[in-house]
Amino acid sequence: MPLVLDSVTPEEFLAFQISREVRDFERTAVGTLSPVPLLGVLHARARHASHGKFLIFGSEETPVTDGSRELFDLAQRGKLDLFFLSGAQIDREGNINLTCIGEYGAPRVRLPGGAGSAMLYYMTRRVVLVTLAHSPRVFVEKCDFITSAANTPRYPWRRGGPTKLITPLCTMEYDGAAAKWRLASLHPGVTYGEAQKETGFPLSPETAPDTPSPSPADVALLRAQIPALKKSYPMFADDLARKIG
Amino acid sequence: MFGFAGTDYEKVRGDFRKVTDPYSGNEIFVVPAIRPDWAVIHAIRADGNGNVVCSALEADRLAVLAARQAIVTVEEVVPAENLLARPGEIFLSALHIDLVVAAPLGAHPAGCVHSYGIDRAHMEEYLAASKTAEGFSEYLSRFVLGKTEEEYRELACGKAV
Repeated sequence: MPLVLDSVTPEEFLAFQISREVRDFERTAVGTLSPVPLLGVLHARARHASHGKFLIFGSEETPVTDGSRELFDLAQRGKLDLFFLSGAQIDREGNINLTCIGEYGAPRVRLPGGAGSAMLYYMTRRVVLVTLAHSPRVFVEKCDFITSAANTPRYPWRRGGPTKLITPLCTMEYDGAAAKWRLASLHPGVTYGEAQKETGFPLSPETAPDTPSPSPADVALLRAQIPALKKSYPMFADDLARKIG
Repeated sequence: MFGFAGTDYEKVRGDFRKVTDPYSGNEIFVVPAIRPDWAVIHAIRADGNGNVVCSALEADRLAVLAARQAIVTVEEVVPAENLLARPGEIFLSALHIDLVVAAPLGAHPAGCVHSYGIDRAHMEEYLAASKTAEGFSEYLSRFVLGKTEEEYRELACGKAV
């Protein structure tokens, strides 16, 4: 049985899970092509992280003058606490592929590329992965191309890395010592068997608590963020507004 | 860092290391990054979101970017639409700043770009006073110790405004 939700859209449900990862007094950045993370971050700012600093693509509240370089430098200096990434493939060890499907020299699909993610995955204190598709095509044993590396024993130093993975079926936590994902919670209506069937690597443990649903007040607060969301992602915001009705 | 080789700094700055540039094969000096715990700068104005415009003529912005934590005092807080940096000024995102403090005349007796110049008379008074430990103590008692920001402005800045 797929995700079953009452009075909240899947996008809002995932955004709520993202909001729970945002902490007050921290620096959080939201990159491009990240409408769901942005909705979650806006909710967190309105609910529990009002003292945080937010670098939001398309926002004029904390604009930057050096473009993505300013974000990359911020992360390398150790001042980026939380960032969000996704991947066309995410593997068992937490590596991400944003480069190509198939051989690099003769790819079946050429993807947009990693931008700064090869560095950001090391230098951001916590990276939360968010994907809107949970299937064996996304969750693979080993990425065809590692754009961002999670498990790198030979590398001398990293500041942070993946901590959490949020999908339409479940959440996972990254176990850095074991260099693999651990099932943390299953969304309402999702069974372990279904989540495992859609995951191309072994999912453990076999039991996990339910992912908490947003309260009516949280749903209202998420919806109150739509005007702000619209400044960065007008089409996504309009679609969401239509779904809510 | 280019140059440097053959200077006497080589003898006194052991932390500057000579490495081979893997691209050109030339030997070159590298310098460790400076990471101040704090940067405290005085800027021209801020908006309500904590973004500031500071002097582009000094290394103020660089100091804030380098430091682990940064405090920025500003002449005034203005509406966001009036924050625009003019020539000689540069924008600095709130992202890099931990605390913004409204402190009119906060650079006194030094100057603040586009706001006021150096208070030369006060500077000379300070320089004369600070020649001796007693003079320096007297100066501090008169202008700084136990004084509020408002009292300092009243005592010291009359001539500057």
